[in-house]
Amino acid sequence: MENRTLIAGAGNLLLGDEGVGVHAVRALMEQGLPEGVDAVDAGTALGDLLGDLARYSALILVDAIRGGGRPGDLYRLEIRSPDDLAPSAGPLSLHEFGVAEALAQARALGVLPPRVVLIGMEPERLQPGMELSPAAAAALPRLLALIRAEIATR
Amino acid sequence: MPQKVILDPLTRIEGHLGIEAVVDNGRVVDARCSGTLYRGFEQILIGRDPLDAVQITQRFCGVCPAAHALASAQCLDNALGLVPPHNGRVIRNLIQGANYIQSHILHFYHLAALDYARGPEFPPFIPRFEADYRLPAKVSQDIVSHYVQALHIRLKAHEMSAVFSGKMPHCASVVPGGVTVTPAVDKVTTFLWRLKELREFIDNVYIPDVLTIAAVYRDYSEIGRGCRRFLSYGAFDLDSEPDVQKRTRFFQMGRVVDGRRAPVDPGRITEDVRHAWYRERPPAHPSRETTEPDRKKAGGYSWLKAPRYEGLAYEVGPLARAMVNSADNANPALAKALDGALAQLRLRRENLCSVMGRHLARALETKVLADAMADWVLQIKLDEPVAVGHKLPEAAAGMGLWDAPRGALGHWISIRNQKIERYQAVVPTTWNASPHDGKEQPGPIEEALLGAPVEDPANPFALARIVRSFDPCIACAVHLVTPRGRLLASARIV
Repeated sequence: MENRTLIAGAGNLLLGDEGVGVHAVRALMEQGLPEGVDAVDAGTALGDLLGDLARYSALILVDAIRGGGRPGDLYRLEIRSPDDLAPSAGPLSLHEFGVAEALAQARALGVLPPRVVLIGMEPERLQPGMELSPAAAAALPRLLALIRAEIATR
Repeated sequence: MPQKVILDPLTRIEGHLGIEAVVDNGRVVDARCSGTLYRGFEQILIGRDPLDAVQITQRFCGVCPAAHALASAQCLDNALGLVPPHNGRVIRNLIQGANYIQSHILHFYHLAALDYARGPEFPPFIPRFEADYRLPAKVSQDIVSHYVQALHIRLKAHEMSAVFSGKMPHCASVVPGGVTVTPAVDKVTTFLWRLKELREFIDNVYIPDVLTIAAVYRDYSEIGRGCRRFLSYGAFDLDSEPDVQKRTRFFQMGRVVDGRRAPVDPGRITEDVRHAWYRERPPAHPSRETTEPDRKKAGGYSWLKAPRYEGLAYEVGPLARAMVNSADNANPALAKALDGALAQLRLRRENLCSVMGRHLARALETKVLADAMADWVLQIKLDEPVAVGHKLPEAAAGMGLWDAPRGALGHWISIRNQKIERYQAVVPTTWNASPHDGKEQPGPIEEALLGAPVEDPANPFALARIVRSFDPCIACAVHLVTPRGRLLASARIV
């Protein structure tokens, strides 16, 4: 397989910092991306990525993550085994189709890229609104730098 | 060193739906359906440019954004007095049609089928309730292999939608007055090529699988009847009549009460908050109601309001469309498909009001819609306009009524000083999953759960099947309590 990376920004733009993944990929698209790297605004429909994943050797998922840190803290998780993410006990609705479910399903289908990295930011506010909180806005440049560093290590 | 990580928040839009069912002698005797996340999205729209509504409302939901785009665009068409040209109307229908197909196939294979067919022993197929798998092993295996095939089919449906919407999941091309995509021969052929593949899958895989499951699980043609009142705004405009109530739609607007068809007057819709966590007020029309959260309200148990038509609960969605469109042959293709399936299964028309009836209605609607789309795409006129221009008035009000895949979706807007003054959306799951109202009438899902069999409280699979047959937009935690209120078991639906 050729060396291609997909950066997927996940989240709901209407819930403040929940949309940080979408804000991040939009910024990356505006700044421009190196050859062999695609970015996609996945919104809240992660399941829609499944059909495209097989074309990539690496997937970088960007989302808000509650990791117990301070707002604006960044996380990097390399997904190595199915146990690294606990899917919920089967979704009742597509709205429950989150990161863990999407990855589990991609694995079941045999389309999960060999390398999967989750990059996230601790949110401050998840209330309805289309702007990032001050903490998340201040941390956004660091988040973009972390994603770019991840691309560079391909 | 791998570490176990639990992600929270997972991507959710409408939060969780809690179902509290009281079980007595193996049957549900009382059920409460509770939406546990406050949705205040409408507040975001206030003060913005009215044209932004089409993009912002699509972000309510990554599952049916096309429906919000269409309802919002029609709401603005109505407010600004716009009538989309022929091409605008046809292309909007094609975008929405592709989204119906993917949504229904996805619901059946990736959410519902595994309630009946035993999947393999790894995620996402486990964990699950271990009970009541009745299909022969070979049939189960086939359905699970179709689960994988359906993912690729769904991708085709999305690509088909993106041909005219610019991108999925959030359409870029839908605007008040029509669409912004220029039709071209290559787009039409790309669309048709994919549609052909989808139709083959629907005819040869999807519908046969639904019929197979319905034949084996015959008791589910009786279980989960619901309120048996149906409401549909209709979808897929076939003419350019400005008044939505006079417009001809492929799936027509209407109600069915006591088996008879009746018209819909949107002025008779109210939202009741007696058991919702909002400040107490009399039931009010969506264009005039207030939304003031009150988390401590006595008697409140849901963030969902209770939409009612003339004070009564109504089921919305594919079954409602099936009922409305077959009551007086309003959509002959759908009526004929329903009759054929009922005859093949040796079921009566009243069996449609059931878990299997909902799955059948969803599958057959997918077929007649896909068949019709093959004609619609050829109606595009390559050298004609796709939109009309607009002038933003100082003040206006509008209403968009449109059936999303999951049912009746209403958007209401009022504009002042060329900005959005109010915006209200009443979404399908709010109708179906509504709480009790001021007259203590249950919502449609609550009513469908009454009388459901629950032999083993640790495995309430019948409740999962009932709730899922409505294709709700929410995840469920089922709590089973004894009539005295002792918690027997708590289970996430799988």
